[in-house]
Amino acid sequence: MTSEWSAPLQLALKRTLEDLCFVAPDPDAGSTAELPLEAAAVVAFTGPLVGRLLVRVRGQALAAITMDMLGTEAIPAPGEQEDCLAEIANVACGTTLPMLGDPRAVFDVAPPVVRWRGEPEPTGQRVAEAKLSFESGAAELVLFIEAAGGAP
Amino acid sequence: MALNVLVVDDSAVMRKMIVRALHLSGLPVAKVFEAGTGKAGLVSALEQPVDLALLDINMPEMNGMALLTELRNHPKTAALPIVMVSTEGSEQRIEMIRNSGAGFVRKPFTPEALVAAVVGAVGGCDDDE
Repeated sequence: MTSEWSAPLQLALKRTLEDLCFVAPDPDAGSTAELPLEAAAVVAFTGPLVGRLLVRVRGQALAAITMDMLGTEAIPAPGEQEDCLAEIANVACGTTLPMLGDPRAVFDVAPPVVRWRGEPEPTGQRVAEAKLSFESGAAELVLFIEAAGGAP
Repeated sequence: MALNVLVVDDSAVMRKMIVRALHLSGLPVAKVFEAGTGKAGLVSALEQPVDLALLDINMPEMNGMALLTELRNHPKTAALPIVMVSTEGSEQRIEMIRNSGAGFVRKPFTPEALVAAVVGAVGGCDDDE
């Protein structure tokens, strides 16, 4: 793991949960790996760095997060939850990339790929990971880098 | 005057969040038109009586930057107030957006940031990130 990328990744996860999902992370919660994987999404990016950001949601969190994001009390359809996870992945990636090196660097980001109870297989070297728990589950980010032309 | 607003974003959840933030903000909103792709957004902007457009960047078919260029090049929409609402973090790209005369709000946004950008775009002033 590249330690200098772990802190930005953790910060990106915290900001995404708090500012997009309206979820308060619980620093005293136990291991996130004990919770079953609910869904995952991966976003590919190209630019000074080429890689993928994997987002995992554990527990039964996605419906509650979607309801909070939409400000509704109705149980969201699976398609809405999928859309919500894709947006979480987009925001997490958009928040992470400027913190990995030159903030002026331009990246192109592909549409997120979402999987229920499984995860897309990202390629590249796993360089950093972030985990946070909250009331209804947990979320993780894993950063994979294939090429690092502008790596710090 | 109440505004007719066009929201272009490939995420239906994000379109709902933007529309909700607009309604909660107290801004005078009349009609809201929605589109899920850049191409559909262009058609809407040209066919509907739109006073303000809020555009995502990463979208299928035609991305938000291409849509922004098309809108600026069309006589009907050349002066349309536009705010880009995106996860984009590159300072260079944000500078390009501002140089095109559009405002910018980074996702995730607070309703206050969205309002500030909308007021800046409609009033022709600088916006807030």
